[in-house]
Amino acid sequence: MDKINQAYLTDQAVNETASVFKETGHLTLSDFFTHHTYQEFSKIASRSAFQKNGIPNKYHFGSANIPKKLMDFLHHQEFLDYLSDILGIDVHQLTSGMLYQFKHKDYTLLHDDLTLEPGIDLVFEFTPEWNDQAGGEITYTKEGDAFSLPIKANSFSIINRTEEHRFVRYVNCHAKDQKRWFVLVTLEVQ
Amino acid sequence: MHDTFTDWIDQDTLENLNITHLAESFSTAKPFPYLVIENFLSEEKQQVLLTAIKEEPFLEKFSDLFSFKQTHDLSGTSVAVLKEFRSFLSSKPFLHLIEKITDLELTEGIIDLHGSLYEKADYLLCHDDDLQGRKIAFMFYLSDLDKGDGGLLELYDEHEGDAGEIKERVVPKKGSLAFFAIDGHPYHAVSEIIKDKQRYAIAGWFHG
Repeated sequence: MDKINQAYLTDQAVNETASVFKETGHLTLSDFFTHHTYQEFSKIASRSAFQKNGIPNKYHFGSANIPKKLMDFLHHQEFLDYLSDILGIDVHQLTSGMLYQFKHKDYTLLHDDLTLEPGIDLVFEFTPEWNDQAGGEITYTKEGDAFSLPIKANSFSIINRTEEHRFVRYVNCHAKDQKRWFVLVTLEVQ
Repeated sequence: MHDTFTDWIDQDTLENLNITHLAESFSTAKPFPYLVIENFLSEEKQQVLLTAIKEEPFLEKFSDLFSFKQTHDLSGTSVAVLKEFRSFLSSKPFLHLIEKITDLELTEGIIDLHGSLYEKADYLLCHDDDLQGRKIAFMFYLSDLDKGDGGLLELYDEHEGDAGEIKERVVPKKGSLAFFAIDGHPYHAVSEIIKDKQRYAIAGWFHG
């Protein structure tokens, strides 16, 4: 497991991470990948060929299949074991996931047709630079409460989504030419 | 026409008001029935209303669908001019005018009314206003914008129950009245304001 920041792989760190997840249902780890791995993955992510997706009353963004090198990492047994330790469940395989690109005027909306099954979201952040006035945050809401994931390069977030809804805030003109990239994978939980 | 109209409506507009023509324009409009009457409010009343609405507290509204500022429903306003404007909009003669143009039956006395303010980076994403009881959405623009500023009312056609493409764009002009029917899927949006401009309006819904 030479791709993950070693500081997160000690027994103490794993136990702490698992404990925070159990207590709060979500967490974000900064500087998750080693510097070298992050440079490699983020380069591949930003150079992917993105397909435009747009139904104006539902969403507008670019998406691509998760690049092979990142997919190999996600399927690596050591990463699955690490996840199992954090989540307290046996993770055998990651079900659905995509690489996303959001830029000015991109967004997703909450919509009855887009209701999600409960699951555990894994978000890998590959956005190098972002104006925090520009929107674009992945936001979870439940009964009037909301929290957003930070847009910070090389962060890794895990969210236990039970009744929460999820959307990506509209990216406004403060983004200018900046683009944001992230991989979102969901584990289905029975 | 009721005398009240002469207080609020621009004289030239009033004299040239052709209900038959307006009704036809409304019903045949694409992508769905809507109408814009420019210079509807008299110049004097435009200014008075703009000054008045700025006295109301505006709250920041933020969700997946929008970012803008809005007043409380103006049924609770203590600002005299806004109370009078609300009375004018709720009056039988004005409702009757809208009914004749839209061929819809509206419920007297029920009106949702609020002030809205869009500034740089504010927007309202695509949706269809589909809430129980609402029959007509209307807006009185109190600011002049240019096409390049953003803040345009964008009207979409429908594609398999969802919004399709933008077919019309209304550029806000001071004193204009715009309105459309809620029946069907009148998908619309307010495009993001991308300049340092302020877009004031008084808007709401008639019920029926």
